[in-house]
Amino acid sequence: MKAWREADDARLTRLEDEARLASLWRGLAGEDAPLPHPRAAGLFVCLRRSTEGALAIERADRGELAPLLRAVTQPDPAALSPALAHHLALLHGRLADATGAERARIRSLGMWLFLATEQTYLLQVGRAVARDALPAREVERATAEAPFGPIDGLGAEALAGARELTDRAAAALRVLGRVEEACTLGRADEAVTRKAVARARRARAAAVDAAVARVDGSLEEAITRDAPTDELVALLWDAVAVWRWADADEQVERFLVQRVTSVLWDRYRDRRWDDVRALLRPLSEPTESLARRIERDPSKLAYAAPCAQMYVFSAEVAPTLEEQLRDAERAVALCPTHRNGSLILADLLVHRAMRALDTVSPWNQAETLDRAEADVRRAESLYPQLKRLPDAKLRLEAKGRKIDGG
Amino acid sequence: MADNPFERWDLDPMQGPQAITERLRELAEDAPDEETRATIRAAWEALTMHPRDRLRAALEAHPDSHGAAGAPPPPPPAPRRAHRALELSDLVLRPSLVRALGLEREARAPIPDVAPADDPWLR
Repeated sequence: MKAWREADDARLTRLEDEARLASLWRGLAGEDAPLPHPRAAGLFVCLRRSTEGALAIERADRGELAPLLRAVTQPDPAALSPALAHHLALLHGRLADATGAERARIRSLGMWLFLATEQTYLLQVGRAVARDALPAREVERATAEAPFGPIDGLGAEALAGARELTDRAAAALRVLGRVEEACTLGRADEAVTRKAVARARRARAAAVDAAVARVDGSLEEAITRDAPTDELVALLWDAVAVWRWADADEQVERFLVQRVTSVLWDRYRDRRWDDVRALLRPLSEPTESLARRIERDPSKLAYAAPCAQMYVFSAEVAPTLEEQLRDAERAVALCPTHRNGSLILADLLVHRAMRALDTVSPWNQAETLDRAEADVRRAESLYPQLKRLPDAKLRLEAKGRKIDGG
Repeated sequence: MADNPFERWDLDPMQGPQAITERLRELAEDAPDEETRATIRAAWEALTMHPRDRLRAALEAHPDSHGAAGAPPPPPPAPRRAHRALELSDLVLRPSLVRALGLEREARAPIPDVAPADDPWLR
């Protein structure tokens, strides 16, 4: 009589794999996170099918967990089976739920997108589950859509916490911003990558829109009733909090520079410099971030002018000439055709030239005159109609430097 | 995923509505309170009456790779009989059967000391 049956072997393997799962889970999630369903131990069955996977399990059994952790967290997409990808998609998803680890969420997305590219596995599972209860076309649609479900889930999570700027929503937004990374991880093909990235972008934009809408509503109301600057500054800081929550999102930067320009112009025209300075203070980081984007990517030219205008305002109220020149240079660099930028930079250059001419002395005369001449020439090229230009030229001419006609 | 009904109620995603119903009925019968029974009922409705929900939940549940790995699958759970205490007459070999099978010698031998699951008489 046979006391030990094949079925007992299978049962023992299952139990051993469940023990391995517990040990692996503790390595990934710590002691407190509730264990995934025992069927998650099926990932060891899938791992065992490759030599590397079997070796990793063997070494883990001897207490060396690193190769197993590597096999689970950095699976080689070339050797990845769809069933293993399915287990890993769910396991990393559970890990992200339990620990909030963004990397785990990205791994989970990567595995789902691997399955989206592979196509057949989920369809087979879908057919086996649905049997005759759903039309074939619907099963195809549902299984093709399933790998993108987690992206929609993140979008819903981001949207749900957008108005209160919750940490959970911020984490979801960050992951949505890293979907391309997940595509690379899962070796997603071009079509899947395009779809995933577009969907993540839409979901992100919807959540950021919702967060901005709250601030925009308050700003609109405050501007309409001509609220004091202090109140507007507080609202701008609120908008900056949205920008930080949205992981320095470009959409918020564009909103800020466009929304605040008219308010700044009002104060600028009335020469309320302290107010201009106070309003600019919260905007410095988002403006700088937008400026860097424009410098990196010429396709963002449409935002160059409003961004440059921020630097023009800044140049007008900066405390020192050096800082004024730095901001004006930035405005012109961002938008070389910006009229106000050219005007203020030309004016500041002439101002510097005049100041230099005021301090010229016999022992530094040539050097000072060279610098002043260069400033005046550049000012003329930037803004030939500048009112102070003829005076500057006359002063240079008096020192022996003739600009017009050589 | 934590509330996936296949995982919460330990259901095999590959099983059809009939098996799901059977398992959830058992769970509902053993449920400690009305609230749990209502939760089980909601899961049953979602999984059996809405195939789209069943499909979605199945894709979000770990597959049973131990059963489908080429390794011998674990034996199916023994069908549950109605709860009735075993009686001696259930264990006794009926003389008519012993005679018909020519097992008189084996019937007289001492009962082997093996687990019921491995007892050839009980297979």
